[in-house]
Amino acid sequence: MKDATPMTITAEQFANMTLEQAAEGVRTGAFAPAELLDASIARIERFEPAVNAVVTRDDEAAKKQAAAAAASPDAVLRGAPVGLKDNIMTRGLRTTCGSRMLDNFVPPYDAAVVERLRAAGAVIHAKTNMDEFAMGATGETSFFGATRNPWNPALVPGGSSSGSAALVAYGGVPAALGSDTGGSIRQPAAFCGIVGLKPTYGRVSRHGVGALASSLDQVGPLARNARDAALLMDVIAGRDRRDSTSAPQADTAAPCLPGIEDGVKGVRVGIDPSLTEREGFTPAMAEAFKRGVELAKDAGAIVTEVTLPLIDYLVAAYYIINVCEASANMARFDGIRYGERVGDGDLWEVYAETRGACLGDEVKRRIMMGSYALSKGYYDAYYLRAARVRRLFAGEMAKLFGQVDAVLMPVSPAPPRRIGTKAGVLENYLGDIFTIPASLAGLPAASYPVGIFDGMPAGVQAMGAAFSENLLCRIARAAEKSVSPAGAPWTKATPEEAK
Amino acid sequence: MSGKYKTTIGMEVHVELMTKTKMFCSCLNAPQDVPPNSATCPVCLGLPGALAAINKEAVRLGLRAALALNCKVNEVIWFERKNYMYPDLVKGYQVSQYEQPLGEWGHLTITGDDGNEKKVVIRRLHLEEDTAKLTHIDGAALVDANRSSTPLMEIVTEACLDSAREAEEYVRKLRAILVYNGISRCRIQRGEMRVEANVSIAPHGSKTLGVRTEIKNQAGFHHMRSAIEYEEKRHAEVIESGGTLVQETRGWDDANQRTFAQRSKENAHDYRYFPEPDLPSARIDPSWVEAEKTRMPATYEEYIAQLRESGLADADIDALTRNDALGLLRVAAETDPSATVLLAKRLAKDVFALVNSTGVRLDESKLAPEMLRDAVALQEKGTINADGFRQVLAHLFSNGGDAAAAAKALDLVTVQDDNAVRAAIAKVLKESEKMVAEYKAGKTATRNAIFGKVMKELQRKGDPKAVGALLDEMLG
Repeated sequence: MKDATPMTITAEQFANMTLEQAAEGVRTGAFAPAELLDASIARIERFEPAVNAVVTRDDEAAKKQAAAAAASPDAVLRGAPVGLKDNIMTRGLRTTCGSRMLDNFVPPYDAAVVERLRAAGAVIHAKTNMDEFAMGATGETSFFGATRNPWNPALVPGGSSSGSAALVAYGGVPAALGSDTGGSIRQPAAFCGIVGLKPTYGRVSRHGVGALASSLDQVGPLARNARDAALLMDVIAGRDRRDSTSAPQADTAAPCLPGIEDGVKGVRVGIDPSLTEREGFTPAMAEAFKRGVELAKDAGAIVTEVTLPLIDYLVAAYYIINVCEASANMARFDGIRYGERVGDGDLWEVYAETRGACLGDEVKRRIMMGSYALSKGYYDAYYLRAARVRRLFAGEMAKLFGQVDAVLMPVSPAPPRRIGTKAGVLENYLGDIFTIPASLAGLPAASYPVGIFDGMPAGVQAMGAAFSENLLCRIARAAEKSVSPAGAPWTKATPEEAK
Repeated sequence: MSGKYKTTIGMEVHVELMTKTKMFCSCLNAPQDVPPNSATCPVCLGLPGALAAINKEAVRLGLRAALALNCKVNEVIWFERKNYMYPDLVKGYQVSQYEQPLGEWGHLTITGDDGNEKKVVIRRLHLEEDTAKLTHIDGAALVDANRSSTPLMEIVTEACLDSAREAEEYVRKLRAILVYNGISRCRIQRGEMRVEANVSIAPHGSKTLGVRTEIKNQAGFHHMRSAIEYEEKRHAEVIESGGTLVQETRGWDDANQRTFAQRSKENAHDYRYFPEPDLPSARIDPSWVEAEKTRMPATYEEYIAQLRESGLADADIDALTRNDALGLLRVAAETDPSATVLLAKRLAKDVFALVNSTGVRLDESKLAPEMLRDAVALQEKGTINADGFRQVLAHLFSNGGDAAAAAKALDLVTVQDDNAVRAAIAKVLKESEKMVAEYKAGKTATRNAIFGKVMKELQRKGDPKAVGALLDEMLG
């Protein structure tokens, strides 16, 4: 029965509430969606603009959503607020993709995942910061400034879903959506001590998601625990005819939340020890990976050694495909029909000045590289060859998943850097070495926290066969039962306490 | 071209497909009389996050065209991104086909310059999307995205045409076939068919082709022919005078009867083609191809032969082909092929009379095949008479609609009540005793005059057959 006066939720209580608990509380009448929203706003206002996870908020529209959510009690999220990475189109709510180019852009339509969230009763009030057009792995390329890691504000939260990861990590929302092209959900999730899931390519519709690399992009959940990630995954997954790359299995694959407590006894997990022996792999990361493997063993998984094929070629193949597709996807940003426009001269001046002023260095770099790699005489040597490597790798991985059910891998060779320290372009790209394989093969992968190492959380990554997201959630859930969340940012009142 | 040089021409034709919706989104395809930028959506506006999805009907029409043009149909097709930036290209790339077009190596038969049958080889036929429309005004350019992503089919011949005359016959035949098969309306004035001729000359016996120029944007086939002939002469003059021909695009200036340079032909323009990642390759099921083959009518040539065999006069056939009316005829006769000759005659006579009197082309009129079919059927049934038919037809030609409804609305339905007819006849017979007497005395021609009076009495709404029968009965 609903209380006459729903209790107020403090910001701290809210920060420690899971998505499931938030929805359940509304269901039982302990509180109303309006209370959840107020608490979310209160929490966000404590950490912003210091953390800089949020680009746009619309509290007024959110209040209306909260009231509507209260009126339809069957929607599974029941008015819980969910954060959205700012490359996901929201009707009537500014969507910038982290770029000056779209600083003034208000989409006239909702992305498919937003439609599903709204139908599930989610309240959307925060668009989160990101590397510009999802190009980056630290959050530092955003036009709106870098996002800080809530665990240590001097460090990067990872990227490109930097804002979504940080917002969830400090408890501004219980969960958020990000996008992952080569690791952009999994790596910031690991750097911020939360769970991040990249689905199988085609499991979640890309309709309404600003494209970076069309054959690689996927939208997925970031949450503080595996159950929440699974719950959110089940809401957003599903076939969409507007997206021709949306797979039929998106409607028939096993959902993630049911069976998540079943444990991993007897699950065959493969690890490739050579990965941790690579150059640049820091001791803290090695510790974390070791811990991840132990957790799997303790939970009853059968851990065996495997060899990941073609590892040395994957970063190159990935980045060629990425920059080529990105260069074409960026061509629509020309100052003509929407977005920012700079310059009053002739057509070519408008193009040059608009794109010159409104696109950042990393975006320009990739446009140039992609145009070059696709140009006459080079297409065969680069894009075509990269596509072949990719197909070869996907075939090998399919074989591998005949021998094991999941592969455990590190997430990142190094922990989060200090904000503002510049690494070389190539060094940055090589940092994606462990997240790229799942992207290239179109396979699902999840990162989940396994503890604190050198004062910062670190995670481990489980990769599975196509459409095995439910297994990955089970693996994450089994691990987290042994990992203490004490000391997490979301248990702290302020960013200072979170240090 | 006689004399020193041999002309070589290759044709590139773009045709807008007659689908209900656009090539890659659900917006209406070319809705009439709507404000600019109103038939648009995130996809055809190129908004971030919007994804193309293939219009299956467009593929079906493309497939039908490939079959009608004797092409080999590729079982697996995919689309590619053709990358360049221009304000009418909303995504900064056009989704088109490059490596694996829908159809290849087809042909169309014309009469060659030597009087013999000539197969014009169609190298490729592929699908793509149209750009938005640019209007230049006061030094500014306005973009209307209603046309953005309209389905286009591009048909490219080998460089195998030898003269402007052959080129003209090719495009006329191509249009006739496409209209006949219900693939496109091919109305040049609306940009539904756009023709480009690639022209070069070389000395007879030369193993290589000369520099080619591309002639674009002609307002009609006559212009295209004049432009090609002009180019042949111009090329020769440049060569003879020791000059160099530039590979470029030229337009036709009809007022001054000459071509003019538009822009350099981008022979080397690098479009950086790569397979469209948003559209996985599609397999065209052979059973779908077979089904389409079965659904297709007789070929264009076969249909004309059938019309000739069924007794239709050559003059009528000629009128029908000249006006690209065979498609309308075929569809109008679909439900009752035995009515073909009757419909053909009506088309050739009454419909074209309307074309002449109104100045409106048949393909610009509102007359749809079923309207002609229904109007003719009404007359055959006696529901309307010849006069009524002409009026109904004129109404449908200008307004469209339903034949029966038009007949009622215009008060043209014949008097169906026999008693009313008898009353009218009785009245006329009473008033025309002298004429009746003449008739009975053997002057049979008087009957027609009496008949005319009865029809007038019925306010021109008599069914001639019924009235005639009743009159004969009452005259005794």
